[in-house]
Amino acid sequence: MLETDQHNSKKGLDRQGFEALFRKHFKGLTYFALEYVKDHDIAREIVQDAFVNFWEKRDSIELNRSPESYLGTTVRNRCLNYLRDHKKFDRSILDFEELGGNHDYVVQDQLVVDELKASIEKATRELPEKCREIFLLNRLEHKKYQEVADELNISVKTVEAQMSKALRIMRVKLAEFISLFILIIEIFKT
Amino acid sequence: MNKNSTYYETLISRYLSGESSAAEVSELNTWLGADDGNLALFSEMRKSWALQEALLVENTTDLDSEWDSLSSRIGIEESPSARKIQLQTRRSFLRIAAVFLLLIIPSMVYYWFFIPPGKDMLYAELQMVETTLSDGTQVALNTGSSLHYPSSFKGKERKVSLMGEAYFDVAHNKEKVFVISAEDMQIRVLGTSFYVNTNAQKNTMEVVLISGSVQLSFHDKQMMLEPGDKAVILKKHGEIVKQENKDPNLLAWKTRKIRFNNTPIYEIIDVLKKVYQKDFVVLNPEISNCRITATFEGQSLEAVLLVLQSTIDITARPNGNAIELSGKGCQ
Repeated sequence: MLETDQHNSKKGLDRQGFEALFRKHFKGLTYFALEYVKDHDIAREIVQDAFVNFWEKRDSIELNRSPESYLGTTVRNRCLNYLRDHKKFDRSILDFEELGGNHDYVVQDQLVVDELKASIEKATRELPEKCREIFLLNRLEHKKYQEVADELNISVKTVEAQMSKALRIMRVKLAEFISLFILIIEIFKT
Repeated sequence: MNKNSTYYETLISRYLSGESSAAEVSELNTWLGADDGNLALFSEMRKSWALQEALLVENTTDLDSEWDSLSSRIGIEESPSARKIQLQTRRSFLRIAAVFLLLIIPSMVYYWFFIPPGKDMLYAELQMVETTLSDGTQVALNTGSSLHYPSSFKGKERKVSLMGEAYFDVAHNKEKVFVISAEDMQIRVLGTSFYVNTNAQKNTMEVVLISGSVQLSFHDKQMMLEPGDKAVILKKHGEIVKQENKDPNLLAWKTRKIRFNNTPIYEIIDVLKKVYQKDFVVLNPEISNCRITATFEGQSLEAVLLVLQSTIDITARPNGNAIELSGKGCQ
């Protein structure tokens, strides 16, 4: 099934090319997967798997498809499989999320990204102390609500309320970027 | 803000952070379909969340380690990247030496080595290994580590290369400097004892000097160490940082002497992992609070675990190659 005996195929991608492809798209694809699965470790695993699959099948992938589009499709399918297998979400809520727009769309506007980065970091810094602590434990250290509650010796209800509060504050502070959302997200994906 | 919208904001933030149950998702779904205003609120919240997440992925992804883990999974050796080419130019004097590609660590990552002719290889596959080189230098290699060295040292320098974790007690010889190469790092010594770990945490290497003096070089950076100094080499940043060695159990894997002084469980686990090459699974995170003061010398893992179990409320049970720890925890 695997075509590992064709390492030296002329059309095939060499290791350097593969590494370059990986380095270029790993973050963007991880973010893309994260939109579906909402879990950093799982998103990362799915993207790793997609690259393994891509490498193993590199000689049989159709030439008229770009590697980016092949990888993007693989990642999306694997995310959907994951959600189905784990009975996480139903299809219709994903429709509301309008995920997976046009992935060939490329914009280079580093200024917007820099400004956004600064705004997000500022907004996070300015969260009330308790709120910020909970938000960072959950987002930066990928701790589940229960783990955050255990660590801080508070109830899950408190974590939940503070997370909701953090999101409300962020939404107000990042309002100007929300209208630019599609543009910015595409920059992150490249 | 009325109670109702707070309720749904919480439901949405639970959903976005991946905490929702199937029932909550279905409830959210019904609510979203009911009213365009609901959908607008959801969309705004989702977007500000997504921007934050995009930045998080951007800032926290370590491409080098992701690539290492991918390339080891698909079993391809590291391509000759810019870093490696630079290394070869820098060490052009070693060009005459043969270059071999060796598979040495279980994680299947390949490394380049410069191996002088007439070489031997020592690989500590299953347990710690000790050896004496032809010049009288003593070496201890921890499990999973390997050393390349010539059967007899010729030329002006005594050259060896290391991958992993080792302790060296170098035989004094003013005429012939002893040189250890590990990836891009070089350690030059006349006669001295020290510890090296080329696979320390978070993409770093560590060198701790026990006695004598050593000179470290990494790319264009150089540093002299004094006894007690610990040098941490940040591979990605090309920097060397000097610290004081505070770990009393640095060489416990070699000496089997372990000292815990009000040490928390999670640190104890790290030490035991390294010394006894076992995995540990903590079944109840609460036991992480527990601290222990004890010393062991040449004891078996079973003996150590017995002491731990009688000191604090903890149960250790073997499961395959792992030891499972459970218990009530401490205050």
